[in-house]
Amino acid sequence: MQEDADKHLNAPGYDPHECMDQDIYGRLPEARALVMMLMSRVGGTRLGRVIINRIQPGGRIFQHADTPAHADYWHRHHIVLQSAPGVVFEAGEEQVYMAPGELWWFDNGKARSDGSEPPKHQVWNNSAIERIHMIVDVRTA
Amino acid sequence: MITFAVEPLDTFIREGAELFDKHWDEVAINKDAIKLNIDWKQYRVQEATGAFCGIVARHEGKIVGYWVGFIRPHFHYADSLTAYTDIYFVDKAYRKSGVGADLFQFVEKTLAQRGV
Repeated sequence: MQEDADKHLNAPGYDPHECMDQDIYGRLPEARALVMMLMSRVGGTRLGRVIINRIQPGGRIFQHADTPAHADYWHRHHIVLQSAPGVVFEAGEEQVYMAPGELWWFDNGKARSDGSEPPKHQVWNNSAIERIHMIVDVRTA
Repeated sequence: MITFAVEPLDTFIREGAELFDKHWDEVAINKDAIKLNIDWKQYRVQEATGAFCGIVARHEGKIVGYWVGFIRPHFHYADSLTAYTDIYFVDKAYRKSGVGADLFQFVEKTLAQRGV
């Protein structure tokens, strides 16, 4: 099974990072403007996943690190669409509140040169409203 | 769920009034002679110098406890970064549930990260 997967991933012309423009993107005109602003701001050379992520009040994303191959290839950004104090984002030992309108980059699990385990991250929404972030993966030169 | 976070002075100005009144009512003496009148300007000065450190406990977005301190070199030991506790409080409804202990654990962790 793993052999089959490896063969597929390493096949000539196969790009595991390819992301397609989805129909839903066309129905969110403001999203494209934000993404392009970010691409311009960070000097992006390739656009990866764009995800709108919502966490209900009382919800939580449990501690994890993202897929290493993905985390190494892309730079992950968060554009904060809606949030409120009580939302807690923790990456490694660091904890931050990402306020609405802000743009954040964070290390979502890049491999360490010394081979140590990359820091994990988690989120609590202990506010009274939904926490909505647009997550944008960008490759830079 | 109770969460703890370092928050800016604005949080306290904007959302703190209800708990400050409870806090004052519970611990102050000579209330007739000395009224609660927080000197926010002085707190702003402390925040501008980087000394202000405010930690908030929240439940469903609402503040249920706090710790405030100032981080600066010690007056007697100038090479030692020190935290001076200003105030701390946990709403009565959240006492005897571990919130206070968790708050101080978070304070200790935060201060250690700040080099205290």
